[in-house]
Amino acid sequence: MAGMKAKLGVRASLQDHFRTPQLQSPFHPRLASLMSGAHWYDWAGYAAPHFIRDEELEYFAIRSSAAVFDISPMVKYRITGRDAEAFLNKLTLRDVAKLKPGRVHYTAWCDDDGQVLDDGTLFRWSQSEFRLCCQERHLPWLLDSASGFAVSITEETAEIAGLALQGPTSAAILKQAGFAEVAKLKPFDIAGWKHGLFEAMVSRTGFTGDLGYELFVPVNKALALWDTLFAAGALRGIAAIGYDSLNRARIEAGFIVANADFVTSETALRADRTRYPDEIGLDWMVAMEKPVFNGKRAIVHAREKGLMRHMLVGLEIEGNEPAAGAILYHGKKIEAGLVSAAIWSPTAKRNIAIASIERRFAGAMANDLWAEIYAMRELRYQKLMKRARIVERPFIKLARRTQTPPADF
Amino acid sequence: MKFFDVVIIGGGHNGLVAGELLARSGRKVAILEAGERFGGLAASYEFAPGLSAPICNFISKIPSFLHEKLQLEKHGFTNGKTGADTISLDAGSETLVLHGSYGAQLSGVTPEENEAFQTLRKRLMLQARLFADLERQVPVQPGSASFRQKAAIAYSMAKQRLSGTEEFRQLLRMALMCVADVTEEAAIGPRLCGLLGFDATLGYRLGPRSPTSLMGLYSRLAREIAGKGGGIVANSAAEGIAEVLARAASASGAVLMAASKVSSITMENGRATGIVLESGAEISARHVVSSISPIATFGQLVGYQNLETGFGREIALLRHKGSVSKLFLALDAWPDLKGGARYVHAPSTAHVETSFNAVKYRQMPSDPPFEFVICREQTGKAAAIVSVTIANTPYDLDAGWTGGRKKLASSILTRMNLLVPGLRKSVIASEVLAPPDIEARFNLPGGHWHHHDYQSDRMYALRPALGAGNYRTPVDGLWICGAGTHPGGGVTGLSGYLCASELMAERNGRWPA
Repeated sequence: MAGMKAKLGVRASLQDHFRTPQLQSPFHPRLASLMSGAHWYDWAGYAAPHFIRDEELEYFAIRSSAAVFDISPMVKYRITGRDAEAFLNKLTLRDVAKLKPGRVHYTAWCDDDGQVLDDGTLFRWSQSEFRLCCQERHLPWLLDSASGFAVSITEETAEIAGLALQGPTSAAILKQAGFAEVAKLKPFDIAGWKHGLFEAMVSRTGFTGDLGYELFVPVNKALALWDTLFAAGALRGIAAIGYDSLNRARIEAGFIVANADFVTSETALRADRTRYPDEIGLDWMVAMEKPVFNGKRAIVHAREKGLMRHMLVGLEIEGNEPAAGAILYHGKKIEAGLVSAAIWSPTAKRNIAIASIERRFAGAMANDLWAEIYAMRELRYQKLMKRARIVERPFIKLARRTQTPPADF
Repeated sequence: MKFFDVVIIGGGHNGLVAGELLARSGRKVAILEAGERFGGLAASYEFAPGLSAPICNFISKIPSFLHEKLQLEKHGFTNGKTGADTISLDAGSETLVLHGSYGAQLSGVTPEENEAFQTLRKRLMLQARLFADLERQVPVQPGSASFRQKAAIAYSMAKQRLSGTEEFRQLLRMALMCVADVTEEAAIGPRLCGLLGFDATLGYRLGPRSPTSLMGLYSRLAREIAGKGGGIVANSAAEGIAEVLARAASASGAVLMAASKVSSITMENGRATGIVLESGAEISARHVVSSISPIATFGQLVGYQNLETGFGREIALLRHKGSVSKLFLALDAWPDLKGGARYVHAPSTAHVETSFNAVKYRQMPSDPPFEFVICREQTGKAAAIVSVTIANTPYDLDAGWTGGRKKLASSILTRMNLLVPGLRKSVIASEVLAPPDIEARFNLPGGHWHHHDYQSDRMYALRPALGAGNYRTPVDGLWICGAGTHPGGGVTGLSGYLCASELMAERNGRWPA
């Protein structure tokens, strides 16, 4: 009896995952100690901050000084081998042959029906070494796609910690921290940073439309990286931020988020909710000259037969009431689409939105679009019908984003 | 480099039928066979020096309409008037014999059993008529079916409905049942239950108690209907269907190339443009038609790297582990059996079902059910040739097949000797082909007779997979026919015929002059 109890004890101790239902990022100790309360949300199983102290201040850290955002929960795959390029060419929409070692590109991938499974960034470290970063988990799909290729695929989400350092002073902070090469990095370049305490992979990328970098280190070096950046950035306004402020910056930059601005095809429950790349503004990615890639036949067919029904657009909406979740109407009557993200943009000083509309309303009919906004005014909704205009994305274009070498703010 | 309108991979009977029809339509056709002789599993097999035996020992007739279309009569092949007898060897007061088209008459049963069987047979035949209809139609593929194709299936369904409310209800009730439940509720007696259970599951990875196992019987009966009654016993001596089809294809102008194993399908910008032989020679073609297993076609010749992931996943998941073995015997004396009949050892449902456990658990069955035919040997080296087909012998035997072949031969011969006393001592030569041997000799992954399982999830437009269910494939220019496509295995030529007719309906089907 006693033996049995002991055995049960051992088994129970091996199965205590339920005691910590949310995983903690390697930066959790720093985030938690800076945070004013417990403003956590769930990002792919990890506790991630909505904000640290104040969303407003954090937004201005992105645009005026430097913001640090923990991207460790982002799903990461390491893809290596002789056929890695060929494999990724079949998997993703863009032509990976055009991605040189030491470069990053934004890409997306589809199922056989041409419906987008996810979007993400592809880092090419060398001829045969890649890292794919994305929102959803795809290991079974990646492994099945790898049949016939000499390639090895491992998920390294839990092994690699990532930080985004974004904002005008981000380059100066990295320089201060001892990364001299930062001046040479052009947008989408990758470089290795050998610091005394860690070795990081640094790319000039980000999700803010601002000058910024993303840094990756093994998880056991995570805190060393954090502390190095904060020490170097003390006089340059470095601040930890949460997702809410980042979300504002990304809307201004016109970036879309999987399962917010479009539904990924593996998670969609309703057959008509999935999207072709052309329906979420990613038609430019599709490298039709590649002989085979997932979704090619379906995309060719849909383009030929005019089966694309939706379109993702940037909107400018009159007034200053953010139109999040608003239904769009043509002529204030016929339903035309839905706003998936909207803010009052502090930088553009405009009321902006990202929306999905039916294609037939995007042409000549686009000058009669209206957003139905319910504004809460002292415990009563006031229904506003505001004119919406289709405008170019990104909503803001900052010269410092691409300027090389970056200015020393 | 040689140019053809159509190059056909695999000289099995479906490849030959497709080749004959396409060549006759004026297209320049090459049929490539990896082995020395044409016919694939429909051909005969030399199991000992100078001694050949039919591999498929009991085959359904070629459907009458196709028989006429191919003018097989002219090439010296007749379907014959009546079907061969099926004889159950297992103990009973009298020998159980199914005469004609699947027991149109019975002998060796009680009057009650006879009446029950005829009632059941009538009902099953009526239901199988739907299957017979669908077997000669190109499956309706969602999104790409012609009006004619949709009208054909609607007509067949309506026809079935018009057979009466009661019979239609019975079809809906029974279609997905297991054969054991159907035969037991019909009260046809244990020997007939065993026989029907065996016939419904031979070559499928199912036991008589597995749900949907009645489908296998429908498929068999559908062929009885299409071929106007009865199966035929293949003969080692006379010219078989394989040779006749090869001659017919040749006469129509198709170029038959033996010993020409294809190593890959050439792809240009995602389109199949020809093939490369193992010798290194290349052949260019407007259309490539593969009659070999879809697993070999896509996995080996096209390569998964050239397929979109979802479709490649479907193909890789096809269940293709065979469970049928062959035993060939040469006898120095003709035993107390008659030629031109099929003999079966399947005494009861319980026997067939218990033996199916061996497949589930990768074991050697102790007394597996089997069927065999006996035919004359023409060269005089033996008095008789026996071709045995053994069920429930798993491809992936846990203990491996190295010692397994001998063990299997011995257990079958022991049983045969009990059923036909004295047979064992007259054996002068024998060979066992286990599923891995069939795989190796016939380039057939898994050694599966039907290329992959023929079950409800892999029938009609889902065979071999959605997106390739109407003989076209996601690879432009590549077509498939053969047992891996609708309507599945058996020597009917239907798959080759349907594929050829779809290809001929395609515009620009000819190589530009």
